[in-house]
Amino acid sequence: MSKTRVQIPFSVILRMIGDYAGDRLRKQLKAVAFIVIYLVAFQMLVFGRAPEQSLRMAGGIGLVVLGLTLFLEGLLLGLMPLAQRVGIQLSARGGLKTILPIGFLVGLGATFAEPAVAALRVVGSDVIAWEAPLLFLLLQQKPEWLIAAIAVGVGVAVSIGLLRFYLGFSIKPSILTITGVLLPLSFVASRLPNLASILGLAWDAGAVTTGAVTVPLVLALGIGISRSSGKAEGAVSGFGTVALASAFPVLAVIVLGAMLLPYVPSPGGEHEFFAPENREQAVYLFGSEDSLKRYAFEHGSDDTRALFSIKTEDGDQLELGDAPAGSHNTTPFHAILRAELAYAAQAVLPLTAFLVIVLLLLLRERPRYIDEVLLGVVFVLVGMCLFTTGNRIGLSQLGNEVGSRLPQVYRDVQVEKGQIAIGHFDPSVLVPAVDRDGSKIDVFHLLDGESVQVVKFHPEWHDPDRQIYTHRVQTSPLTHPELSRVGVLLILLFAFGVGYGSTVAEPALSALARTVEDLSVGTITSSSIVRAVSIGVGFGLIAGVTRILYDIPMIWMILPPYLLLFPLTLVNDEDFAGIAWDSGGVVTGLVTVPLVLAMGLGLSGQLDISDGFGILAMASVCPIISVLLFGLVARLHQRKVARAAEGVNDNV
Amino acid sequence: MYDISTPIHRITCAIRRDRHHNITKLLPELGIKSVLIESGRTVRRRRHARLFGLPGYTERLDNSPVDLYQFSVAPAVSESVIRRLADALHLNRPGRGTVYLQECKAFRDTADENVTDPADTGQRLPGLLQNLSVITCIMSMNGSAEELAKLALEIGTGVPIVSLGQGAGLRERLGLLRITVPAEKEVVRLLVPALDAEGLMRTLIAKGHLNRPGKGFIYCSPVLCGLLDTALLVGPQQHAATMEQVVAAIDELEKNTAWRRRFHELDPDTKFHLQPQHDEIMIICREEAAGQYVEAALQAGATAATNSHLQRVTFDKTTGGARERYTFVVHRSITTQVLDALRQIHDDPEAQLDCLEVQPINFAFAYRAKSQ
Repeated sequence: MSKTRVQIPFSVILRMIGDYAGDRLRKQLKAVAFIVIYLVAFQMLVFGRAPEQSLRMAGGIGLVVLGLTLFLEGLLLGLMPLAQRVGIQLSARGGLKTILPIGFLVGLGATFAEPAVAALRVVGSDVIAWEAPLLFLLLQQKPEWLIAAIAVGVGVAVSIGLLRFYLGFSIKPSILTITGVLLPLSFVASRLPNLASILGLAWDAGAVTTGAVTVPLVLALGIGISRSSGKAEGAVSGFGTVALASAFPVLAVIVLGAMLLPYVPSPGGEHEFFAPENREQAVYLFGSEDSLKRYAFEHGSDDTRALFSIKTEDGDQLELGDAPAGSHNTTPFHAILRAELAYAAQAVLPLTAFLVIVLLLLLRERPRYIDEVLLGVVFVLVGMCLFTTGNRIGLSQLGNEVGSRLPQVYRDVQVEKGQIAIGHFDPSVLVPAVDRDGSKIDVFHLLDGESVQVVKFHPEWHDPDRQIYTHRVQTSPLTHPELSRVGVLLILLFAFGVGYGSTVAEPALSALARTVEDLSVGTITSSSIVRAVSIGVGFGLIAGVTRILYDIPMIWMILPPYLLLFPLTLVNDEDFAGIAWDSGGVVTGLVTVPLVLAMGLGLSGQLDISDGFGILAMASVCPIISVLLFGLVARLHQRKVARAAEGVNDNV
Repeated sequence: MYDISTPIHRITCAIRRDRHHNITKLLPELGIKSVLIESGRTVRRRRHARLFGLPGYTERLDNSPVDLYQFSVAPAVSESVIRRLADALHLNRPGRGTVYLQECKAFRDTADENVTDPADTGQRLPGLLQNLSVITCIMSMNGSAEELAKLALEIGTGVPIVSLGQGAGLRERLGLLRITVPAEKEVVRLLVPALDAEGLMRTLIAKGHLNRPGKGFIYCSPVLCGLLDTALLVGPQQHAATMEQVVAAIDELEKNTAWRRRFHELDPDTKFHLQPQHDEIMIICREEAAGQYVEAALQAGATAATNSHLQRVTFDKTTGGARERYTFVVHRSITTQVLDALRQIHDDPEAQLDCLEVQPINFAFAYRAKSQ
């Protein structure tokens, strides 16, 4: 305001900033502490080794804490107030004609801005074309269609969510209707071989799309509209949109899959897939004959290769990065930082700019504190960049290390991980070696990324005419009997800890929980929400990992929890129903996704499973259950106290 | 246009959230056209047996959500409205809620005129208590409302009602450095016997350390009549009637709470002086439309404002929606000045002010830096 500024001595300014920053950092440190200590303890106690590169890792974790602190503060300071103001003004001046398209655009933009779909592609990188053609098509060949479908789903969801606040109808019917459509649809899909393969993808897509920036924005927008429309009765209204934004993409992906169904071959054997009479459909999957040929060479058996009679000339370039070599951690720090800054800018700037434009041009209003909004955006940007950088060199690295060693706990079967074609192979690089019996064998040194491996030479894989040696990457044999009970227990324990720990540190959840605490005037504390959600995610990961370990069909993972959700949602308060369903979409954010993926990939990569999907979907449905249960308990308690206070005598 | 102020009666009522249907059904029947709702919580002590059957009890504070309803009526009908409200909601019983009536001057006519004549039910209504005051504490530190509420419960007058607010004023003058100062305030409202108000205020100031910088401020305003919630303690008790029931019964017999007076002679504490002669100026307007009013008030001499978010729920065709309330506590000598500044802006036809009310304050207290 225009009153003169107070003059404050510099030392006092420093102290004020120090107190402010110290307080925030301390809170974030506490939130991150659990997952770090847990991972290190697991590493040391179960595997008996200290983490590698611990100094770099510690630095990374420091960056994670700093990044999360800035990110959260930026959300609370800049982005959420901005979105809330847009919501309030939209509802006051805009009316339906503006709310619907703007909601749609926000949802659409959010999906394109936060390419969480990249995470899904990582999960699906092991998908074999002939085992799950439709899944392969969506992930590897037509990811842009997938993203577009998800974006439309999110867009529709956000506009419906905002419409709901504007008209003031209850969250329960909307959520129950959409899940009521999704469940039978998923069930039908699970009966069709091709569609069944994308179920995991579809449900994970729903969980993943609601990213770290989208959730707080959509939440704040909704709260603004809901507050301003004056139709909502409950005080803690404004929740529920994120939940819809998790549900609609599922629908969108399944519908997209169904539309593509006629064009793709049905899943089957490799032989059938490459058979000349099915060539047309197979080529559709790859776009061109050449890509199909290339794929056949990289993944196909010798028969298939013979079918295409692949020539030597192709061999030089054909090296596929499917080999599980831990090689990317050596990228220079500044390069990571630059890449992550670009990623953060893409996630934050377009959406924020869109909101500012809507506010300035359409609603002709200004943000109340423009300097705070700007500072908040800078905080979010820098925070996200520092966080993802720190995550790559610290937290995720730690998670990867533990995750990739996990299978050692129970597996003893060699698994082929893919092959590398080495062109211009010169047998003179072979070095003689002996095994324990004293018989001579040949080995050679393979430079893979930056690390040198000693590889046993198999004469049968060498094609001297074409000078190609096909190296088949195998995981080292492990010692324990398959799926030992203790091993499985350890993995489940690990899964729970990772879920709990990473969710506690999740900034979007923190923002949601604080909003709940504020709106409920402290009767629902933010720490209790965070705890309820984290426990839910912990159990969700247990469920997801169980699915991977025992290869349970996706539909059996989805049906029971969602059927349980129906009655739980109906008996709960409107407030808690919204909060609970939103927390399902919130959890799969910045911290959780990389860690969970690290673990899921470590596991599914070692097992003969086509994909590691489903973990994220589980991680997002279980917290809904736990928060709803928490809501029931809280309400019973409140009612008990209120009745006791009124002197209705049932002894408290 | 608003040169002459009209006296109106403002009714504030705190009811358990899950009972909101009762009151939103009742108010239109009473002829109230619209009501402002604010979220809040009440704090009670909850006593429960120790774990594993160990002897004795443990106690902790328990929060329950309430909604605060605020509306204004013409003085002629106010008492009947509050009586019917209290009767329908059984507010004379402990634990049901709190209601009180205050006299204000309105500079914008906000009283509901359509209130139906309620004279027929006059006899069997609960006795309203006279001679009450409401102490309002605006606490700056996060969590300090909890301490104050605990203190209030120990002193044992009525259940404290806590709501949230934001401070504006000094914070705005810090530039961007303001982000280091939390804007969130916790507002604690406490209904107390008028005779004890000053003593209680002194106790709260001393024990709640309000005489230290940056803790918050406190003021006490008169209440015409009301009913307070005396269910301070929840849990097993050893008597045929709970102490709360006894207190409520005697309150009702006496028709006031003067018999509960405890601070018979005030300890002349020299460390802090309660400031008489203040006014609370309250404006309510559409959400996010208050900026220029606040600016004007601060320029006219108000030192700080507290802002809270309300919801206007209407029972007729007019539109409700989010509202903002700003309260300024100013010395009476500048009340007119601030009011003039506010009304000057209000003459702009674009501006929308739902209400502008002034309420006298008995005593106020805030930490004052020595250097000023």
